[in-house]
Formats: sequence, C-alpha cells, structure tokens
Amino acid sequence: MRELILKLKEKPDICLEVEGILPNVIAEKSLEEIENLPIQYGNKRVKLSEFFDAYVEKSETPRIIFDGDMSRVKRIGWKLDGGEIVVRGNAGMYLGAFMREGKIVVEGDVGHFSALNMSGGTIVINGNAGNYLCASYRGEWRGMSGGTVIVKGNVGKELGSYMRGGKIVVEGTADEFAGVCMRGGIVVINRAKARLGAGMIGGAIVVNEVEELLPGFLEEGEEENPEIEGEKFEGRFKVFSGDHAERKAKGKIYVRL
Amino acid sequence: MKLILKNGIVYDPANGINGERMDICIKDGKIVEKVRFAKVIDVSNKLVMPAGFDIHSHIAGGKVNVGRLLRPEDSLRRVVARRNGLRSGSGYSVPSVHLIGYDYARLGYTTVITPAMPPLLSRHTHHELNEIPMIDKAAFPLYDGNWFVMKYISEEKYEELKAYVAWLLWATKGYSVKITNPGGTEAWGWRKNVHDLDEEVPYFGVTPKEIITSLVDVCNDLNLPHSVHLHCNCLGEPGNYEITIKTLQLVRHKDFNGRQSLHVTHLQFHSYGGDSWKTFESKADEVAKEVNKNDNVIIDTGNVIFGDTTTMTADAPMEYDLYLLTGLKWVNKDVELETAPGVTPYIYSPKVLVNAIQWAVGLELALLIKPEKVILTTDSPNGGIFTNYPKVIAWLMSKKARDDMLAKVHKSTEHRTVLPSIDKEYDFYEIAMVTRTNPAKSAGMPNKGHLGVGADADIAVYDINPLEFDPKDYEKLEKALSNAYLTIKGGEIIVKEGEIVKVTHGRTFWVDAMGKIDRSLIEKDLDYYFKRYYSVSLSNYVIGENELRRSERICVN
Repeated sequence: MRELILKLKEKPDICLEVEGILPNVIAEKSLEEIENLPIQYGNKRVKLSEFFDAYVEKSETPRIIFDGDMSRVKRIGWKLDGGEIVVRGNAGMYLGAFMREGKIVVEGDVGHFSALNMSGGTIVINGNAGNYLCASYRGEWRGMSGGTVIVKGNVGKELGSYMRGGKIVVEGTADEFAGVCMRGGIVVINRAKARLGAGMIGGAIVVNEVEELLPGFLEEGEEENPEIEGEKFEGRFKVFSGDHAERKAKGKIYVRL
Repeated sequence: MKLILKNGIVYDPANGINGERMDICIKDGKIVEKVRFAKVIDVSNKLVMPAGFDIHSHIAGGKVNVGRLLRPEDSLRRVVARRNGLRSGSGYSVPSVHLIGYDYARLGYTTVITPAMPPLLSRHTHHELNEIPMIDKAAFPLYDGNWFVMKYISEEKYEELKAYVAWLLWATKGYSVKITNPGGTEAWGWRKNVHDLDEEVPYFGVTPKEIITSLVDVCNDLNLPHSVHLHCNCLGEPGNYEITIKTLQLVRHKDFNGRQSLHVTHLQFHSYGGDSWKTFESKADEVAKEVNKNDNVIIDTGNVIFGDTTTMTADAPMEYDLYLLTGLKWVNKDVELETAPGVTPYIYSPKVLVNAIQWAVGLELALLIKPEKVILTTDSPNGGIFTNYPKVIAWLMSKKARDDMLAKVHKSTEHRTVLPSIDKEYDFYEIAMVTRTNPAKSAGMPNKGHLGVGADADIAVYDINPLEFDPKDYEKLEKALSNAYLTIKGGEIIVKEGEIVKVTHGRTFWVDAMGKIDRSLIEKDLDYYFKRYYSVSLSNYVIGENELRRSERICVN
C-alpha cells in the first residue's frame, strides 16, 4: 500500500481534468508510469507530470493527496471505486461525481456538481460547496442513491436534486431549492433558504431554521425525538408532508422548534 | 473500383441462393457477371449477404432532436471521441447524427428509412439526413392528421386527394405515405383519441377506416414504389389485437393486381390481448394467423429489447398515456395542420410482466408469420436502439437463446404467451430475407437487398461460418453480426474488420408522382390554407431538390 502526493506546479490558466487518477489505478504502477498517465488540458491530452510533481510514499491505505489550490482542477475522484483522496486546498467542479466507494476529504471549498449521482462512500468538505452538490446529472431522474456527504460550510442551489438514498449533512446554509424533487434519503441542513424540497415525493429533510416553506407542504403536527429514516434526532420538530403539488407525495420536512 | 469477393458463403433469397460458395464481382458500384483486373478479397468461410436494409428506424427529424434535447443523461451513457478521421459523438438511445451512420455501417446496414417525417419539419429532417454519413436514406411524410387529407375524404373528392398526396411527396421530398394512428392525432387536438375504426374524428367527421382505405387506393392509383406505411390505432393498449385484425381485414379481400397494399409497422405493439394491464397477454398467434392469410400486407415486428430507451412517435395521445404510466419527463408537440408527436423515456424491464410479454410478442410474430412477410425492426429507438439487431437475430436463430432469456424474465410470462412452445429456429437464409430482401422489396427499391447482376454493390460480410453454425453458440453469432467483417457500399469498402475505413455520404431517395396528377385541382385550397392557417408561406414550405446532398428522384408513371 502506498500513497501518491501530487503537488500542483502552478495554477493552470484553463481547467485540468484528472479523470482516471484514482487510488486503485495507481496502486500497481511505478512512479514513471504514474507520471505518464494522461490528463485533459483544455482540448489536449497531456501527461500528469506536466502540471504535477508526483511523490510516492508508504501508507496504510491506497491514497492520493492533491496538494495546492485545485480550484481549476476538475473531476477529482470521478467514478472513485475505493481508496482515499485528500485535497489540501480547494477543489474544482465534479469532485467525487459518480463515486461508488471510498473516501474524499477536502480541506477547502469545492466547485459545482460535486458528488453528482453518487452511489456510495463518504465525502467530507471542510469549506463551502457550489451549486448542485449531490444532484443528479442533467436530465437524469435517478439521482444520488447512497453514501454520505458532510459539508462544514455553506452549499449552493439545488442540493441533492432527485436524490433517492444516502445522507447529506450541511452545517451551514443551503441556498434555494435544496432537496428539489427528492425521492428518498435524508438531508440534514442547519439553515435553509426558500423553496426547500420543491417537488419532493419521498425522503426527509431535517432543518433547524428555514426561510419559508412552499404552499405544497401541509403541517402534520409535532414530534419529540423522532426517528427519521432509521436515525434518531433529539429535540422537538414540526412535521410537514409534501410536496402536494406532485402526485402521491410522501416527502417529509422536519423543522426544529 | 473493381472488386472480387472470393469464396464467400452467400445467402441471397431474392435470387434463391442459399449458402452457396461463390464469388461476387463488383464494378462501378454495381454487381456484375464477371470482372477482370480486379482487387481480390478472400472471404472464404465467411457469411456474405446483401447489406442490411432498415425500413423503420427514427434516425432524423424533429422528434429525434427533441429526444436528444430531452435526454442529456442519455448522452453520458455513451461518449465517442474523435479518431481516425471520424467525428466525435454521444448518445445511447438517441445517438448524435454521425454516430447513427457509423453504427449502421458497422452492423452491415447501408439503407435506412426514417418513417415519420412531419411535412412541416421536412426541411429539418432532410438537412439532418444530409449529415448522416455512410447510408442511403429516405423519409416517409405523415398523412394521418392532415387537414387537406381529411377535408378531401369528408368531401369525397378523390382526385383532389390524389393530387394532394403526390404534391406533398414532391414538396417534402418524401418517399411514401405514412399514417400514424389515423384520426387519433387530430382528435388529440380536442384532447381525445380514436379507439375504433368507425369512430369519427371531431370536426372533419371522417373515420380511421376511411382514411386508411382512401390512402391505400391513392397509393395504388399513383403506383408508388412503397405502399401505405401504417401504424395502427390503439398502440400499446391491452386488447388492441382486435382493431389490428380489423385493420388488416380492410385490405384482405381486395385485388390490387399483386401489389403490396399495406405495410403494417411495429406489429408487436398492436398484438395484445386482455382488458387491463393486469390481464395483459399475447395475441400474437391470432394476429399472425390473419397476416398469413392476407396476401396484400407485409409487416415489421418492432421487437423489444430490455433496457432504457427513448420512445418517440407521431402518436401524441399514446405518448401521453405512457407518460401517465411512468411519470417521467414528456414532450408533446403540435405540428400545425398536420400531426402531433410526443417523446418520453421508457425502461423495458425483464422483471415487469408487461415488458416481458412485449418482448415475447415480438419474437412470436416473427416465428409464427411466414418469413416472406416479416421484416425485422425494433422500431428504433422505441423498442430498443437498432444496434441491438444482432440480439434479436440470435433470439430468432436459437431456441436456447430464447430459453436463456425466458429464465431471466418475469415467471408468469410463459403462461401469457406461446413463445415457450415454439421450436422454430430461423436459418441464415430466412435471416437474410427478414433483414435484407423483404424490406427492400417492400420499399420498392429493385436495386437493393439482393446480389443479382445489376444490383447496387451494397454487401455485408460477417466473420462467421454459417455452415458450421451451432444455434447453441448464439453469443458468437451476436458478436460476429455486431461488427461486420466487411461492409461494401456502392462498390466501396467502408468497414473493414469492424472499423470504419472510409466515410461516404449516401443518396436520399424520393418519389416524384407529379406527372400523374393535375396540380390545378388543389391550387386554390393550398393558397387558402397556407394563407389562413400555416405559419409559413407556400413557397417556403416546398423543399428544393438542391437541398438534398445527393438526390435520387424516382419518377413513377
């Protein structure tokens, strides 16, 4: 087992795409082979070593560490199928998109479309996230199906759209349309802006504070220490069902009192 | 270019050649008796057939493009990078324009007809067809909900109807008359549908029966190469086999001087029994009996492939019903005076009984109807995308392939269908018939679909020895058919060992019957309707021949 440290030489003028640089891919390769792995630079295929200094060290688990400001590096952990990725800095768009297994830790912010259609594994974001975190791919009605995403900061619009399973925790503020068209799973938000859960027909949203709820949600009463999607929450909550603008809506929003 | 394909094992049903070892000579894009100083390609122990002909595949036009717009997630399922001089592209169930051409060539198909072109969108359709490489193509304009057609039928002006049919073929550069859910698409404008051959269309007061029989007569009088291409009423509804049989009987006892008078398309979607989704069952045997008795019709199957696809038809009420079933995204469109198409995604799941029965019905039809009357299609992409044809062929050729699939589908399927009791297995001769000879014959293209002297040199060679083929080994067959060893189009090698080696652009066939009609009969109505109702002017509506990349005009007389 070993870990690969990739140090960005300088911030690229246009975005890099590092699809395919995954812990399981590099596990069996020599340093030279790793340096020759292709990455996308605009419309060109270039070698990894053109933009990154690579070092290999021993480690307990297969791991890749991206060191530097990666806000112009897209698709880190795209289709990740095991192992761990650490980003020491910000990450660009599509971080952990279509991820199946493994773990990603980001110390800074992440771009839009992160954890897109994720089906398993864990992502921890210590900064803020852009729009469409954990959303479904454009047009797709089968969104995130599993895994856990924890964001310490704020997130953008359309958090977890068309989500079917898994868990999202936002410790900051979620912008408009969080949980839009949800079908399942659970979203825990500290503070949510308007249009929370628009069009949701399943799953649950737990929120400490919400700007306003859509008229499609009906009050169902209050609950003390409820069990939501198999998880215990402490405190008193006001429960809403909806979004009754849709047919057969069974979504739930729990607002802390 | 001169070529000799040496020692191939040839299947050419049009000329009665059944698995003979022979040479095929090609000169100037045609098949000839013999040729000297030619390049010789050794294809010994390989399967040689005329190139494939797909008579019903939605490859271009408004609906297909709406499908692409509606389903960005479908693009992600298949992304093809640019390489070897080929264009990049994406899309699985609705591939982008160039991929369609490449995929057909790799399958060994070189002629494809897009079967539902709303006349108003024919400019779009033709410009899209122009860009599809490799294949020859044609388009059937839609006549089903057309105000002119219904007006002339209700006023019993037969000569005017004839003039309009020929004029519209000329104006849209179309190939034949397509009718989709006759009357139903116009009734959809009133939020209705028609469920019987004698049910009247609102306002016009004509019935589906009148629309079908009038247009069949017009096609015969004009002597169009292809007959009426009919998508029957009540597509996909439980119990619709009765209306299908009634429709088939409309032409059974008529004498059309040996002409094929009706092509009933994707019959699979029209052969269901039962009175609700709970009692849904196969009535393929009943429908097959009627088709076998009926000398005036030919059918294509419309087989279902399990998986995720995008349905698109000019039958808007049916697409709406499908949307109500699935609750997925849906697009509906009204094409002014002409028709109303719809698009919605659909997933055929082997675990869903209705889907499993649909899969069985398609195969039953192909196995129970005489092979001379069957054409193999998947109504691409409605039943499944055309790249799955080798799968359907494997099911037809191998009982074991069917049994293996039956074991994977919903258990009640065997009680609602007769598929498990059918032992028939197609041979290569019959496969060549249903994928090559019959569609070319039905479309009325005498130079396609056979390897006789004078035919277009469109040939497919597959890397499999048909004389040693064991039906149990169907996976090998599927693999061989999916990637042609050689595809020859107009005498040029375009695919070699599954790789495209040359990009060509085929011809667009269209039918000119203007010589048989008197245009002055309809001039006044055209002027009035275009000024009063259409959003375009008459002069902008007509497609010029110069708008087709390679126009192939077929004059009828």
